[in-house]
Amino acid sequence: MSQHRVYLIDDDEAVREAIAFLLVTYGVNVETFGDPRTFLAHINEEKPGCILVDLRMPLVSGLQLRAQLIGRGIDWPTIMITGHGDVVACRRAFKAGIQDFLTKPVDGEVLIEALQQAFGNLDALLEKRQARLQLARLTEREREVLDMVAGGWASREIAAAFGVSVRTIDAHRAKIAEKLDTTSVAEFVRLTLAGKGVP
Amino acid sequence: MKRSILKYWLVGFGLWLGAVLAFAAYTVETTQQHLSDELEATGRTLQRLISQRVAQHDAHMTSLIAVTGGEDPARSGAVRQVMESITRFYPRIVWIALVSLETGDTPATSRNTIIKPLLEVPEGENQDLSPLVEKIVRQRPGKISIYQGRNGRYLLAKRAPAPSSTAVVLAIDARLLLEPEERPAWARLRLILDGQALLDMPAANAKDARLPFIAEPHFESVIDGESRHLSLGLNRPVSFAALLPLQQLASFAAVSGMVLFVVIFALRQRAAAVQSRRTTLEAEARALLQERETLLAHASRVNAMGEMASGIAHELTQPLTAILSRSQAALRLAVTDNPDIQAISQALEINVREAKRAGEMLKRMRDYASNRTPKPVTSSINAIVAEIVALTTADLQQRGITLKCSLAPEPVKAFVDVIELEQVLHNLIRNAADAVEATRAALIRIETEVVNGDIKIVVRDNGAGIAPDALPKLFHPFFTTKPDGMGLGLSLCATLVERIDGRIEAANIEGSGASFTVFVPEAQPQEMA
Repeated sequence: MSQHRVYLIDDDEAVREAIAFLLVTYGVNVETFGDPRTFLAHINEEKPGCILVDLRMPLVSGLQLRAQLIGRGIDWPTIMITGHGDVVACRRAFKAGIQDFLTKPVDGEVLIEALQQAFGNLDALLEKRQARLQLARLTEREREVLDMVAGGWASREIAAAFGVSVRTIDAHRAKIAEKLDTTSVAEFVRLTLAGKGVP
Repeated sequence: MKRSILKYWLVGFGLWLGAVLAFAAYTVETTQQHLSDELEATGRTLQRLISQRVAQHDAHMTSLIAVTGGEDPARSGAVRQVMESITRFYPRIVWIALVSLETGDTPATSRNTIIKPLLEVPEGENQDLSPLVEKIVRQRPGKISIYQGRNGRYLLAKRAPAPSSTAVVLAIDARLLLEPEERPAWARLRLILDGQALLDMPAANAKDARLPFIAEPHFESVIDGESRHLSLGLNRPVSFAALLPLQQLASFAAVSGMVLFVVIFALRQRAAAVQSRRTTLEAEARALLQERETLLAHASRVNAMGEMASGIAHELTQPLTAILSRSQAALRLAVTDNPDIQAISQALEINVREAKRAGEMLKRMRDYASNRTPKPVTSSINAIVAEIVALTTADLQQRGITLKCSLAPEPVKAFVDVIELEQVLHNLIRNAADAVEATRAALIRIETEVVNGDIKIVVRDNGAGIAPDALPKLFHPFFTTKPDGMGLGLSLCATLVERIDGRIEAANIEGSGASFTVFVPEAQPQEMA
């Protein structure tokens, strides 16, 4: 399974422990919280994970927790579990950007499947964030050169386009390779694509 | 209803009586008027008739005086003839005489005058003429003197003109002034001469019953002629029967009574119809209301059921979720090469507990929904409390709550349904547990006590207590302070306790916490089997 954690937040202790127990048997690293506030106090951005939260809880609901996390810039994939599988709640949850919506009692297989998908999404999210961080280190000219390289232009063509010598372009490429920690053009393309789109 | 019918008939009877009386009065009035008019008309006719007849007497006397030609008795034969023919033709003139008034030389007075018949028809009548003297003496010639005689007769006298000293005297039988058929049998007829009754003939019906307050119709008139000394009086004695024909009255009473009866009957029928219609409408309205109430009760019950179902579903979901997850985890552990038996059995143990918890909830719901008939038996309240304490202690301990129990010395017996009372106490303990969960050194105390024939079961907690505004609404259905509560727990408790003639009270404890007290009546000794 993934090296990522699962943060499980449910006010019912029995449910919390049972689901944690089940996840442990799947080798998932799970941390449990009895209420959203404890979780919010405890959360560490350096330890990303998927969030498994009960929709209906006293004081702070699952949706409110999600909104507060977004406010803090944390948009880790969130799976909502609820005893009330009504359409309205489901719709609101998806509008809030919920990854998945499961009804209690939740089947272990279904839960694991949803979590795996969530982990995939979390990986993509983290990768995109990483790519963006790397691309942010490039200068503007280096970024332009990278885009053109990723677009399949040869150094000579790029030099001609900018009206500079091929050597200058090569120097840029060397700098880019150093900053992105790769010389592979394929890797350049991946990073460029990953860095695009909605943050 | 009875009264109104009676009233109806009383009013009807009053109306009928009034109508009959009015009819009687009207009849009396009109009859009286009619009789009076008839009497008046008859009186006038008789007066005219008598007047005409007495006028003839004057004429006879005048003609006789003329015939006598003063005092020549030689012509007495002719005079007698005239007299005889007069008496023959006029039976009422019973006696005619030519008399001489002899006086001395002195002026005539009643004392010195001797009245002496010269000629009389018929003879031998022996009329006492002496009372006449006085009148005649003072009588001027040409005028008539009148004098009442015996046996309903009166005498008329007229003097011949001077120097004759004769006078003509007629004796009239007043009874013959009218023919028998001319006289109305229904009237009392009187002839009065100078204020003295000359003739008095009673009415045929004089002896019939009279109406005392009704004045008799009366007629009186002076007869022309005879110097207006004579007058006619008519009285009409009116019998009750004549005035108020009983047969007519009876017919009227019968007819009007019948009409009234019919009218009242019709009114009664109409009123009854209106009443029955109103009753029908009221019954319909009541039925409608009842139907609505039933619907409402049903709706609120359905609503309650829906809400409860939703609440129960939520509560059941939790243990089910835990059981499913833990079972699946245990299953995964079991199928590994080296199964951790201890972990598996621990998981199963917890599952068993969770399943029981779920079952408990289902039982609560069933008890509420089924409305089962209670089966009260004489039971030891202490035993019930002890049972509940045993049932809940483990769960409470897990939640860090201490449950303390202090029981009154036996017998603490009441006539209760054990399951229901357990349900009530379980509810109260659950509420208390929810209230103290966030409290440090959370404590629930449960006590029994016997006070004045009541058994008190008190459940106290040291939580935050009950908000003052919530206190009065605590036992209302659907009132809740819990985010996921249905507001049925305490309402159900109150219902169940009241079913066994008990009551339940909630209060805040000075300092901290709340107390719920259940009172149930202590069982009587004979019930303590």
